[in-house]
Amino acid sequence: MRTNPRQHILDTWRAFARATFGSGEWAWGGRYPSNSISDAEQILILLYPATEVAGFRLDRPDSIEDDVLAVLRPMGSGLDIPMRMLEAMEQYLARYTDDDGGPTFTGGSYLLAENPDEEVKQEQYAYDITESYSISVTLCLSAKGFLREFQRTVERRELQNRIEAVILAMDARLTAAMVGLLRSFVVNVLDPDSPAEAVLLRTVSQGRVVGRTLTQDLRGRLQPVRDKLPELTFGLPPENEQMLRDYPERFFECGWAWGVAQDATDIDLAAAEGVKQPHGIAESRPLLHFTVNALDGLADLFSTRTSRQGLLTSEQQSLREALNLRWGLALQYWSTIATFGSGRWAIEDVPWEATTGQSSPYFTELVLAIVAMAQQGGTLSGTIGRSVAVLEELGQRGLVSRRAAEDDRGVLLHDPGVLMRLGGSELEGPALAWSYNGFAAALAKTALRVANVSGSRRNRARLIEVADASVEHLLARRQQSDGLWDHPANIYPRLAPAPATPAWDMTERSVEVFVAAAALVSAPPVADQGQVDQANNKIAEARHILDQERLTTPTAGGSQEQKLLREAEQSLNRADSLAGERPATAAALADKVLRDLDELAFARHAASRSA
Amino acid sequence: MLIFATSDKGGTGRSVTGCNMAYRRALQGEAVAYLDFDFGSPTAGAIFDVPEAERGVDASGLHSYFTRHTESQQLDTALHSDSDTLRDLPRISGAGRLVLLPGDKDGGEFSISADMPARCAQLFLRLDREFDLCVVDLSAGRSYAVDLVLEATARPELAALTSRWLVFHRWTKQHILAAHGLVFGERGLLKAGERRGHDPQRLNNSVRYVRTAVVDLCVDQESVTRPAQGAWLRAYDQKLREQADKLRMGRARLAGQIPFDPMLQWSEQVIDDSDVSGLKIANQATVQAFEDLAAKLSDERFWEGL
Repeated sequence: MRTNPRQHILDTWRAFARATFGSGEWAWGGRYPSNSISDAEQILILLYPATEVAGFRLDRPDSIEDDVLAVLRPMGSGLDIPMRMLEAMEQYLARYTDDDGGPTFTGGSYLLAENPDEEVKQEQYAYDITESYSISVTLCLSAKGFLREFQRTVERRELQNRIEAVILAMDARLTAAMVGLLRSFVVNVLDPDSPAEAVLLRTVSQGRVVGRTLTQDLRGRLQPVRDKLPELTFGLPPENEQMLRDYPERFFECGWAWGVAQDATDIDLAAAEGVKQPHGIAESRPLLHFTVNALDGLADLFSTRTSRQGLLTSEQQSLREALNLRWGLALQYWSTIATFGSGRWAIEDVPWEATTGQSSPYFTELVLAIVAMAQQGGTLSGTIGRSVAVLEELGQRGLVSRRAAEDDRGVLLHDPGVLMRLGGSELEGPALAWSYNGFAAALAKTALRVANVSGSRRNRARLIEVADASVEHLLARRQQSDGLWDHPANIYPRLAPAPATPAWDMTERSVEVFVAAAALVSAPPVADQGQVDQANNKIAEARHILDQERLTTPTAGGSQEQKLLREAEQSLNRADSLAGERPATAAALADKVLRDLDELAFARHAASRSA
Repeated sequence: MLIFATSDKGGTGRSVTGCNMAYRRALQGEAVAYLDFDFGSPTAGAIFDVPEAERGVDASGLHSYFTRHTESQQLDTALHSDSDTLRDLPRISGAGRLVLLPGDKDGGEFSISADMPARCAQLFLRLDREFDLCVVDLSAGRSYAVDLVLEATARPELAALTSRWLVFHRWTKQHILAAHGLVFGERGLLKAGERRGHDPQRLNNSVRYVRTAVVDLCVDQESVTRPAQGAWLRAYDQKLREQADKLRMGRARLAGQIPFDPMLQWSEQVIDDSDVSGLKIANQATVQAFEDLAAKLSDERFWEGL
């Protein structure tokens, strides 16, 4: 892998510390005025690698490595850094808690009016956004893990109390975010002969005739998802279930809307008691962008780290179960659609068309991300080969691994990004939209995710190539060679230059990519049985020859030969312990021993000839 | 302010670090007194290169102050030292005085008699009025000197005085354990202090650690010649750090880390920037470490702790 995650994270942290602590105090906001998502991104630029990657821990003064300390100098000493993190968390919580003490999840400056001439209304800025729920899950879990560890070094009572208060507030925020994610999950039953249904059928048919066979087949494949839908007892309107029961021939889609759904009902679990459950605004139809976003946050909720560190309270466990069910349904639904049929799959038909009628290579990338999550669960591992090809195509189409021709429309993916309409927002003001320009980062993340589950060395190499190209693209989009993001004009000179202020969204996405690369690097190398057998054969031969030498070499301990034999034995013991995980290294050790031992035999042979 | 410098084992570099730290404070403009409380084998005179106090003075050293009730000598190093560095101190603008209160030659350890703690407190009070900083160099291990100052600082007349403890140890598993024992052990500082009326938690809050002769992998690139050696050192350093952290001797309580410097191994002396930039016989990192340690003494946020 050409990507060097440790170096990239250190460079990013250095620039981050300079930008955020230039004045000595944490400065919030960058290119966009701060909001609950952007500020969380700003914290996670430090906190995410610190929790996920060994060697970047910041939670104990003693766990901070010297080179990390050096790049974070503007934050102070090893003692100051965890304190600064604590202060940032306190400020974040204070900024995004309303007067009644309830956490807020607003989109603020990230919300755009679909028509640039119109102005977003003040009350629209206050809408809760699914992305804020999802990033809050990640933030709160990382923060809790961080604080628990930091607490163990702290002796002062007053500081202990401060930490305890932040943990409690983070828990409250986490609970509210989980409730929000339950209430923004939607099942959209498609009207027969509606444009949405037509898009869905066209997507799965891939040129085949859309007839009874195909629709029945699709219904059959979706039946397991449909069977589980009645188990979703909270958040959804009862009419939904009614409709699915009464009209078994209707198709549906499920996933996350951009905020709490218009028809969402209240969650009446004990865990949700005291959580404000505002009336929803969002149109009750899943959007791919928000679906993948929610799934990403939930991945942290279901991670082994979360359960190992016991980061969830017992009340949150019930919310977790409910979210787990939705997570499973979304994965199953979308991967069924993406890989339907025996011919060409929908996922291979770039760009993907959403049931809203909008199509974009970015949507293909999103569906692929869902398929990759399903692959991680162990199902669908047979689809990896085809995913690889699609990822390569996205790299080219999206102008990540290929240069842009003049007036190439692919550039629009990166600047201004894909604009997605937020249905339902038009009821209280101008129609709103959400923009996403992280195509390259998402590509790298998905490629690395698939590489992590791929058992084939060839596929893995191709995926790493895609990821490397994306990382190269990302690195080129920094302000200077060691600056922050985002400057797409560095790559596409026809674009207008961006302001010098850092864009935390793109910076955080890049950091996520580096963290994913670090995860792949720290996993053991792919080893196949053939290699292991080969290594074991070499070790066996070396051992045998070593035993023969031992039989004949005089046992005078200090002799050169005896020294060589002892070294040979040590090498072989080491090779034995490596053969399973690193067969090539084991074989190399055995090779050296074989050569060394043969020198002895060859020398004796020469002596016997000259005698 | 009173700084007590102690260590569990000899040869940790406590005195040489203490003397350099005192010199740094004087450079920054403070009047500094250095008290050689290592009654058995006074060494500060040698480090400051004061010939008449090389192994302690003949009469009226600190030993005599306690055992014979004489006044104790105060040797201004600018006048009595043979070291150019120290003689030049008054010529540096803004620098303060650096005064040595030496021990006695052939003094030896002594047991504490009833009047000594009060006399000791009296001495500290008097010096605290005259100097901004008093560094009290205690001998290695648990000694009468340690008991004496614990007893003296517990007295009400010293209640308003800031006393801080620096425990010096080398960066090895055994030295870490030994230093931990010196503070937390059955016969350790905290238990001994508690018996003399100190609040053990407050006392513990006033203790910080100084790691000495630490191989700094960034500085000592020449002494680490093979990659495998570097890999081993780094991994072992990590283990030591975890051990220190577990024993509550981690970074939160780390006042300084003095790198291994070949020059100081052979010649215990006060070094300054000319030894680094002119003669190039000492490492810049060493001088920097003394400077940082000196700065930590009055860093209130650091002493507040976590």
